[in-house]
Amino acid sequence: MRYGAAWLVVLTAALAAGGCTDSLVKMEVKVSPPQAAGHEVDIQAMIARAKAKVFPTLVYVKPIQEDYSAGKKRRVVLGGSGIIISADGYVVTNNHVAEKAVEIHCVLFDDTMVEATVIGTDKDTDLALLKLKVDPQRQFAFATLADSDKVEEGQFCMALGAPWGLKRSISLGVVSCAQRFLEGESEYSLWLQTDAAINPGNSGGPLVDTNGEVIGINTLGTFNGSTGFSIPSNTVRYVIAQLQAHKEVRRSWTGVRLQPLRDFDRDSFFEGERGVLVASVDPGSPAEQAGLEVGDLILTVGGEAVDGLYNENLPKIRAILGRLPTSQPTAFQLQRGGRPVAVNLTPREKGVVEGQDLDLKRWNLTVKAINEYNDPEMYYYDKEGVYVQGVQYPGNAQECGFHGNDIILKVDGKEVKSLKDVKELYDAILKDSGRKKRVPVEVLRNGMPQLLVLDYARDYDQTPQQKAETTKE
Amino acid sequence: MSRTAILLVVVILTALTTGTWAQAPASGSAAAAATSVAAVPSGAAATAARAEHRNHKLEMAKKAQTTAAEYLVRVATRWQKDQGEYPTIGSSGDETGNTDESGANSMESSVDGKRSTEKPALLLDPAAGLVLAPDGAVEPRFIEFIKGFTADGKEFPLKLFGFYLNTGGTLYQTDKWPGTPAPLPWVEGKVEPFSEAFETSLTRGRLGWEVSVEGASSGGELIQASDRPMPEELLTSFNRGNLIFDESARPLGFILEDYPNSVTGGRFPWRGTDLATAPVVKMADFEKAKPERIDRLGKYVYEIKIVYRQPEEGEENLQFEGDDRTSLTQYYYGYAVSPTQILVPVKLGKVFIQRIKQITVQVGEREVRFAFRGAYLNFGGFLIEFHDNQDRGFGLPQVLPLEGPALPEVNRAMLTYVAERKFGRRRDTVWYNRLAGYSKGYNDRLWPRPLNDMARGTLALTFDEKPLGLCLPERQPEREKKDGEGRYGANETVRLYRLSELAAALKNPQEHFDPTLKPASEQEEKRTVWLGVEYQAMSPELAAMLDDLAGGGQAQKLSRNGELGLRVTWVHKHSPAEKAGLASGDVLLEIREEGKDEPIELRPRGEDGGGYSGYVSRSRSRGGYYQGQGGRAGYLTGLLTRLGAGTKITLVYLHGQEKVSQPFTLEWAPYDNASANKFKDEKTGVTVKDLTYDVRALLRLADDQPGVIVSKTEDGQKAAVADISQGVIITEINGKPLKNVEDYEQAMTAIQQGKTGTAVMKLLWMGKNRMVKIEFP
Repeated sequence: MRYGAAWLVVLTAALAAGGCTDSLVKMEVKVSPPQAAGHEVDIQAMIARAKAKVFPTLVYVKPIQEDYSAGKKRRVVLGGSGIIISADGYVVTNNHVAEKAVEIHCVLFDDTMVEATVIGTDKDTDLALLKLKVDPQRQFAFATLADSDKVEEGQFCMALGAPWGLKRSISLGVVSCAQRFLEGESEYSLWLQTDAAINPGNSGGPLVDTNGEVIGINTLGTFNGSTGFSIPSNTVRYVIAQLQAHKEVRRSWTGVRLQPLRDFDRDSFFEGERGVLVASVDPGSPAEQAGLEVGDLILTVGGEAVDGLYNENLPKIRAILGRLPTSQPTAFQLQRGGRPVAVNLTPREKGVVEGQDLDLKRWNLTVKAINEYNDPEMYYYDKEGVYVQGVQYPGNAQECGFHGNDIILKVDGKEVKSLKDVKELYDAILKDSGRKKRVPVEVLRNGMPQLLVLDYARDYDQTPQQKAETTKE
Repeated sequence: MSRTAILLVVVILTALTTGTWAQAPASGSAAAAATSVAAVPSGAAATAARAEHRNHKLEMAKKAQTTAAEYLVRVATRWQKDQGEYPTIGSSGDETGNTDESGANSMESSVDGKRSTEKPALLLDPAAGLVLAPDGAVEPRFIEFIKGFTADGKEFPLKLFGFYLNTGGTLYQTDKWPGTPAPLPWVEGKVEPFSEAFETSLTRGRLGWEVSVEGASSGGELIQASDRPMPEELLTSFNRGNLIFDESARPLGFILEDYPNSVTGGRFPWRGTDLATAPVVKMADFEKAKPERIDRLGKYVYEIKIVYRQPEEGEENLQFEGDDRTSLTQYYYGYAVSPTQILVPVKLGKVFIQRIKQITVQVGEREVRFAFRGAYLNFGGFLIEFHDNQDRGFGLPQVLPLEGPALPEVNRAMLTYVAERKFGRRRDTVWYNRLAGYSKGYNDRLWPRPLNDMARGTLALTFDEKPLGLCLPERQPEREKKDGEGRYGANETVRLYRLSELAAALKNPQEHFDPTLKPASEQEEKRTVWLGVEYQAMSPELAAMLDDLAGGGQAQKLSRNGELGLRVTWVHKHSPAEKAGLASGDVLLEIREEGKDEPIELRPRGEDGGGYSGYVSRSRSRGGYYQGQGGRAGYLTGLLTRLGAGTKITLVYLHGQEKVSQPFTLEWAPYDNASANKFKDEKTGVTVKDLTYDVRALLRLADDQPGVIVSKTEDGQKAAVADISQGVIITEINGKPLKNVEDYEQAMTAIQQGKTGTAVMKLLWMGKNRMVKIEFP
């Protein structure tokens, strides 16, 4: 049984420490009115209703993904979940389920298998939109998205999906936290935390409330499945609309990194009730050009007040920054050293958030373009470059001393600035039958350059028969 | 024991010079010569004479053999060494590795740590039951048993009786001699020169022990009358333990010594008559005198306790010799060479010296503080000096005299004394030894070669206790420089130094000290010498590739197909390498030290030299920054540091297609991460270091980038909570940029000293900033 690709996130202490502090987080908290005495809640009935509404819209998503991590391009079969959100067969699932898929098949509720195409993906929020390949006339039952802002801790919820490949499973729990901040995973959105069992294979499936409406898309879980996290439906709504319209989510990038005024994980408490702190300004970024500095307090963005008191407030602010127009400047009101400062910032397009992959088959290694968002440590050393993603074992690159994460500086004495450069050089070298089968490659490893000799005289992919044939030639 | 097979082995060598050949005719013509050669020795007379001579010889040989069979015996000793004890049978060998040539005459074997030795011996005095064997006695305390065996295998017990004073012979005694032969009828008085002799020995052959006899001649004058074993001519094939007979099969002498003639390699026989009368030191007397000797000689020696400091983070543990290999408190024994100085006969490596924390000497009842003064360059010893300024009246009571008699002649016995630490306590040993000869060693120096190994620290004396020499580990400064030795190792060679040789070094120690061996501050200890390059090791593939790229270069030729050479991958700013124009891609080949003939080829061991490994972790989660291990631990740095700052060298390297020779005067490297100034901020729980050139290079920081780098974070303290981990750079505190650790210390002390204080730190990691606010208390 092939296990799905739900992210298993080992929760850090930060998570445990950052409690869902009702009294401190400034947002609306709904307190349910107490039930009138004598009114019984039929849980079973609630579940049955919800299930009846959503179950028919659940799909088991089986993508075949191209994976480059092991030094060669290979296909991996995954199992995940998805939910049909429109009558004509649009399916929402996670990005990590659908990304780099060469083929996707979905098993529907009526036990039919249908192929699906990827309309668009958003890595930052881990969402993807698929379209089932069916006759245009065919109509599907579809799920509705609830308003995730109205979700309360403690309310019942169900996770539907295919944990461990076990299709059409339901697990029951409560919403453990409705505003969960996860370090490193909460760029533009917070999470719903639940104790409904979420396991590998549940990725992309719905988190459903007692009304049968989708409040979240299940994405992350802990190793033993006891705690799970879902993308709130309001985030899903926004992203899916974008993907439907543009096949991607266009975001702006300012180059500013934020930190909250009160950080409980780091015991760092700055004074003030308003604004958000600038932690870092990327060199050469629009924020730097606009004159923002580390330590500034951003009070308003385009007239809108931004309050980053706690970590939980940051995703919303980042989302605001991500929606700023790139065609014109936006006014920022800051406070610096106690004095007000005003700057105008024109962000740029965020662009691609992950570099492309390439399999250099004959050399037995895979490379990836360095991307400032995906590979910040490598980007630090090489702003335009390519690095070794994986080295096949056994293989030519591995034997000649190549390691994963080596940044490729030069191939055959020529500088490499992009994946395209590498591909061109690779093709040209292989085509040149007159040359010796070895290439000098200069790499950057642990900050220091090294010259490696890539000897590819041996062809690892040829069967003995093929080898005999080529040598005859 | 096997039966004796009496084999007649008669080897009649050539070179009879009695002129029985026919003379060639005086005419010089070839034809005439041809004719004369064709004229073979003629005459039945000549043939008959030769035959008679041969028969006579055979008869004499047989007679010698028969006599020998009655008097030659074997002595077998079984003894056990303590762990690390040094007694071995036989000499220590010379530089070329030739050991004493005892041939088939003595055997040694080792079972379960016990050793058995068999030696050839002679029944010298049957009445007294005395058996004489070549020297090599084991100290009585090691002996398990001694047995004797006659030529036909009868066993009899033996005890150590004594040893000869002037030659290398040991006497054993038995009270159960099987049989009662008369003493050997030695030839007495002056001996006329003769041309042939017989040599008999008890050897191990294929059928067991057998008495063999060989005839030998030298073609010239032979044994002269002498009461000392120094005849003018030698017989070349004699071995130790052989009984020598003259032409008429009369017993002449016995070979005891080990001292070969340097030209012919033969040995000298002692006249039998002399053996009976030569002076002997009786073991019983020797043992009886031991306690008093130890008492007297022990006064030269002092027990020294050295406490070494704990290793710092990233430093290796020290490995010591002796009983307790890992304890940081070690004991040594040294000799007082002046009222305030003690010479410790131990070769300590650089790291050990630099980690000395405290030295105390047991003087009577007191433990007195001493200080390390220096270690000698040309031999393995170091000097410590009385340290306490308050005690003006202090003086070590008994001082080793630095002048004394010359070393005894070869084979004369001398007294030895040594104090060692065994099983947790001091153990003094008095024994004897002899010089077996002299041999050439390092730098062609002629060394006395003792018969038995002597431990370092052994004092050699005359029998009336006048000091002659001291055993010290040898030092080979040139070789150590090249190979990076000078380590505390068990493979050191111990040599016997005459006290007069040491006098100069002891009187003017400063001039004779090794300048590179001195205690230093922790920081200085870690300083290195640099050229300023990072490199990767050459390999055959790389050399071939470099030549391809150059379209036929010299890389393969000069690096000997990738066997040697360091390819430069980085040149540090403001370094000597940069100033001299070295660049990435240059291949460093060899270093020639000024004044030395042999160049040092650059051959790093292992894959990569230089640079850091794993400095920056690839972890994507927070933290995960990994500090380089111990700093600049590369091969080239080690070599340059051993050569020393100030040394003039010529660096030979390949620059493009050209071989370049560049002179350098080696300089100290600037402080690096391992030796950087640091400050431990206890209240915050973090240790910070200056941003040194290597960190700046690695992280591509601008020269004017302010900050200090975190080298250690204590668990659970404020810094750890604030997520300030190893590798993070603290650039500002409360808005003020930090230039160095002094700035950090100043800022934090001011904040922490107040009743309450706040530090707002600006952090930098991989190009990203962050602010933290830390409150005190």
